[in-house]
Amino acid sequence: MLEQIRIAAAEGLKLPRDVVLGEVLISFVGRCSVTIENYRGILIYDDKTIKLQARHCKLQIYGRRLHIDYYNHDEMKITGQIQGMEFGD
Amino acid sequence: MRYYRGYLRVALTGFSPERFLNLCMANQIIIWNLRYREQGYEFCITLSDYRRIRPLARKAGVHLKLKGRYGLPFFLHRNRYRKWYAVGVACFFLILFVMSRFIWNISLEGNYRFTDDMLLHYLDTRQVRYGSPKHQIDCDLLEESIRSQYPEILWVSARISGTRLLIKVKENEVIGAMPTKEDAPRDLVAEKGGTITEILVRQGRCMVKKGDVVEAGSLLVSGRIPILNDAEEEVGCRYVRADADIRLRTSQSFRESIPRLVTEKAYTKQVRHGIRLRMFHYDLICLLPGSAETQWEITEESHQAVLLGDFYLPVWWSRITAREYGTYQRIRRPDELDALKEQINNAKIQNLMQKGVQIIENNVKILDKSTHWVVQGDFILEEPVGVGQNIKQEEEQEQPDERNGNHN
Repeated sequence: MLEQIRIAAAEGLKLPRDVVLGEVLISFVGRCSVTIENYRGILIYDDKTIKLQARHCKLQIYGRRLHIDYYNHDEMKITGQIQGMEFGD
Repeated sequence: MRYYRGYLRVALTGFSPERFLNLCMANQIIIWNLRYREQGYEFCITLSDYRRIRPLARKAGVHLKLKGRYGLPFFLHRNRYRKWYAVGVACFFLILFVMSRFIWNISLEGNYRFTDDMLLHYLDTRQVRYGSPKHQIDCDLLEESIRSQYPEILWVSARISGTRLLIKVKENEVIGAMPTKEDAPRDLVAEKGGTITEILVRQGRCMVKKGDVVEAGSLLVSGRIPILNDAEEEVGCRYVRADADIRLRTSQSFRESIPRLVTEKAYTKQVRHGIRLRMFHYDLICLLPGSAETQWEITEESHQAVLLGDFYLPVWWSRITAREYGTYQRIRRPDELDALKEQINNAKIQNLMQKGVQIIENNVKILDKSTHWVVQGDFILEEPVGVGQNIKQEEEQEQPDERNGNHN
């Protein structure tokens, strides 16, 4: 119920969904760097795959020589040769 | 900042490293440069955070192993027995501190009429020079003194930045001072001889007319105005300041000799390189030795040592290049002679134009003498003429007014 009110408020007031609903925010810089905000935790990490848990979904980044430049409670920066990204439930 | 506080490179192995990473995130522990390795992971962590992750590692069932220690605390710890090293570093900073108390560079901007040498010489007389202590320099006082010494400088800004004294000046672009109005009676006389081509008298009595030939010193416009009676007899006079625009046609010629032989330098392929190091007043020159019998052209490119922006140091280094050459004489080619003639002629024309002279005719020729050439030029010019000559004023006389019978 509360979630539905939030969705309605975000759509009605045109508020950003990442702020109101905590949706994951992904910013790519070319194919060698990506910054992910609003994630919840790390599920899998190796040099070819990084799988993260977001609020409403899971997201998986594929590539080569992937490494995490830094991460904290809000934000994570991944660099390497990114080949793709996939969302999952 | 991380370097100053110190940080560690840690290897992480175990059953559930992701859980450990999530625990770190939840506990606000900053981890960076996280890399995947065959045996596990490696990451960087600050020294203070490393002490906090031990319980988390136990909880997640992972093992931590130190791979490296980086940063200032570890550097100091590693070098704790190297006393002379520390003394050297301390001396370095002490010397830097002492150097920073003096002026090691003076920069002048905006000066065109007053050369750098002139201004530096003046600053030297005010005890402002390379090596002067900064606390002795009062910028406001210096600005005032420069302005009073050089009235043509309208605006001065002096400031000290680092070990550099920056002086910016703004010169008066109007050449010369404002002319003061003079009322003293005068005549206008010719400063050189020629033919009058134009005359317009504003004040005074015209003594010549267009087409007259005048000599140097001839009276052109008289400042003495005679007062005549009805019988055309002079009964008195009045003195005025003669003022007129007079143009004179004159001729001018010049002769300049050009030697037939010209000395040329022929460079051999011998080049010597070296460096010169100057500290305070001491010079150290390192230049490869060369033959003393031959001639060398030495060029030097000098640089002053700068540490961070305006922090100049009293150390100069130069790169020296010495090129060997020999001299020989050859006869000047006709095209070179023509170019030189044009150059001389243009310089003369430029000089005349600057004086406001109009060139009516210009004939330049080259005379071939046996030992040299002579460039001879004849100009016919039209130029303004007339210089003021003060009149020794007698008492102004005036005939008694016949109508009212007054006698002065």
